[in-house]
Amino acid sequence: METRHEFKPFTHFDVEKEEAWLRSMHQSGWSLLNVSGFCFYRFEKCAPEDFLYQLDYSRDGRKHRDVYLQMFKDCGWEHLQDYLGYSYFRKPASDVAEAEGLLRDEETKRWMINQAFEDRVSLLGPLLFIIGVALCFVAAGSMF
Amino acid sequence: MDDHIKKVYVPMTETAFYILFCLKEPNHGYGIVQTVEQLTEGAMKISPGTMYGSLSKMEKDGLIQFLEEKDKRKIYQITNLGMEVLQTELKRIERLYRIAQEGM
Repeated sequence: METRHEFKPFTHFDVEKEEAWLRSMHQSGWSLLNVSGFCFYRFEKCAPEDFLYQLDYSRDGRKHRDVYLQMFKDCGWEHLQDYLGYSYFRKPASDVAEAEGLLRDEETKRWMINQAFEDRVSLLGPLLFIIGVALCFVAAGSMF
Repeated sequence: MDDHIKKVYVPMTETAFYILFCLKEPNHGYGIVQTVEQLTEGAMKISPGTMYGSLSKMEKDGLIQFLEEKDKRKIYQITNLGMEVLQTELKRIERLYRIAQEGM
């Protein structure tokens, strides 16, 4: 199995760019195997085909996993994996509306990005607090 | 209907309108996707991400209620508040259409 690695950082605002990039990789014969670590994508050599990739972020979907994945499955999307809270899906680009990039409306996109952002911040908050406290200790320690 | 609901749903997106409209009868997300595709003769296909997100948001806002889960599919139905929002939206669209017609 021929594989290839790519390092490509996307921010959580760039879902559409990331989707388009994964689609173009598949069109040139590289299908996504997984994404891991820090923006590290692994691809497998395949026949060049037009596959749509969709990233979705849903807090509620994480709570009701079965129902969430079933809805994507019903609509013909294959679930690949989750990465940093985002679920990765793909399906053949046979549907025109989807192929034109209408994977989500603006309202949904805004809501999705907001959730991702809030979750990141709520993780970051306590982390900054801990670093802050640690720095205080270091500063206090160096005074004596 | 409180201000939050008015601000978010009047006017509402076409997707939101169809979802509420379809939930006059109990249905699940994928069922709504199929119904909307038929009603619009294929012009509109709601993606699962949009559908899942809209349903959970509408449930939280009290426009629809969860009835039961069958085969990993959640079945919802419109609430009285949802019906009220749908009627308000319909009146707005009717007025828009009437004014446009008179001016054409």
